Amino acid sequence: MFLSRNARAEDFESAAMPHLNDLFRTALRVIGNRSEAEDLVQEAYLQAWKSFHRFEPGTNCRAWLYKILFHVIQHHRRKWYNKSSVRENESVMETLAYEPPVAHDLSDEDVLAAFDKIPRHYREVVLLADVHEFSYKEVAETLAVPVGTVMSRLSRGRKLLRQELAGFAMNYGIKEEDRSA
Amino acid sequence: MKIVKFENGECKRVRSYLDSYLSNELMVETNLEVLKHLENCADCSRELDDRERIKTQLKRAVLNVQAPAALQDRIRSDIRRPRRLNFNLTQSWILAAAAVIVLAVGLGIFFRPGGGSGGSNAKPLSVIAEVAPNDVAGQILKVGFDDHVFCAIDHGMASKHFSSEEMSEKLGPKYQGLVELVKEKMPQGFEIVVGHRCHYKTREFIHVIARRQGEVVSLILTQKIGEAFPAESVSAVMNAAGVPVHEASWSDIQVAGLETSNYLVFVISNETRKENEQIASSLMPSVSDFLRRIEV
Repeated sequence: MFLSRNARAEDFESAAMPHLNDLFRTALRVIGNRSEAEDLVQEAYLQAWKSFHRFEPGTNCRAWLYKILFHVIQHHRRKWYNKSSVRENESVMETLAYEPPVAHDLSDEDVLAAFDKIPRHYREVVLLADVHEFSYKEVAETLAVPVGTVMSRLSRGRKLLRQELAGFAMNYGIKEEDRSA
Repeated sequence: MKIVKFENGECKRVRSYLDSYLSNELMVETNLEVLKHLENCADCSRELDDRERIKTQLKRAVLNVQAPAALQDRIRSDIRRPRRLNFNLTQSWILAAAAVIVLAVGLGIFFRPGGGSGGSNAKPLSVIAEVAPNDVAGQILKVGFDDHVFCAIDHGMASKHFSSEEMSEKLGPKYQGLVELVKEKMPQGFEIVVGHRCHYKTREFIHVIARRQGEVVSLILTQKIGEAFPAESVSAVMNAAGVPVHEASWSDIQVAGLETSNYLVFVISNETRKENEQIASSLMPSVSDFLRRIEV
């Protein structure tokens, strides 16, 4: 608590900087714009630095940073779009049992292009759970939503991604028969 | 296109578990049930492979992106940058403040803000923020700013969490009801974490801290020791809201200040100027009413 500013800055950097790449990747996929994502990550780090005195060493720094990042992102959206994001129809996919084939050799660009097409609520949950391997509980805490919402968004987000990827599969000429060959 | 007809009830049930299976969130027993089914069901097993493949492809694609090196530099320089004086003074403010000083000296009025010890702040974590000696409003606003930095930040009071009883006991009967008032007037999501009396540079402060994640807002009251804000320095925005509030900011900390007959009232935060103004305009009228009642 009473360390010099430089010593505190060193502590902060060694705890927080290793997560920079992951935070940037997350912000970029949620926001979809590189320079905005950079600004938001920078802002998240600044906020984290300001409240670093409240961070307890030994607790989960990564989860703490993600929480701050999503708080900054929400704030940014409220500020610039002046509305909460449009609620996607979360019941649309309730009974869908459509499991389209997906190509094996999609490029990263194809996968990201497909992923970026799915609505933000779903992207956020899929990113946290599938890419960054947070538990349902951690995702719920990061996004400040109930665990049940995390589960339903994750399930639908994965389905939506699969549908988008199937679009690429169609373009590549992959048909259902090919799968069972 | 393949429409899966779940004629087999077991397949249907197992597929409903696949999302949680993929996230490693199933209970041990259910996990075993899924594994057992997958051993004997080629369709479900292939379905799981597909889902795992998509997950892996997505993970690889997202993780292949790197943050630009310049971003790391920007963040490091934010953190390492010494907080410099960044006091928002307009030319007219300086002139107005200078005029009031001349008037005050002429009338023989003299006061020493901050308890009068003067000099530089020797606290290791205090933010170094200076105010021109002829800037009256700045000097007064810095009284609140200094207590916020000293107490909420350097002494980590912003990370405490007092119960209502503790706050009530620390504030004493005179300020009964203040915490509830702040609670009511703060924007949604803020929690009142501290209400106490503190001392800085021989001066006593009534200090209430509200927090919402990384946001820290202090409401600070202190009895006047002869200070008077120059009327000319009232913030145009805040005056328009019907509250004669004065503003300043040092580095990234915003200060709004108001005086009543006997008190100086400050709202200080790490919010943007606009947000601090909003919070101040919500709090100040009620706090000023509250003080008027105890001043009687």
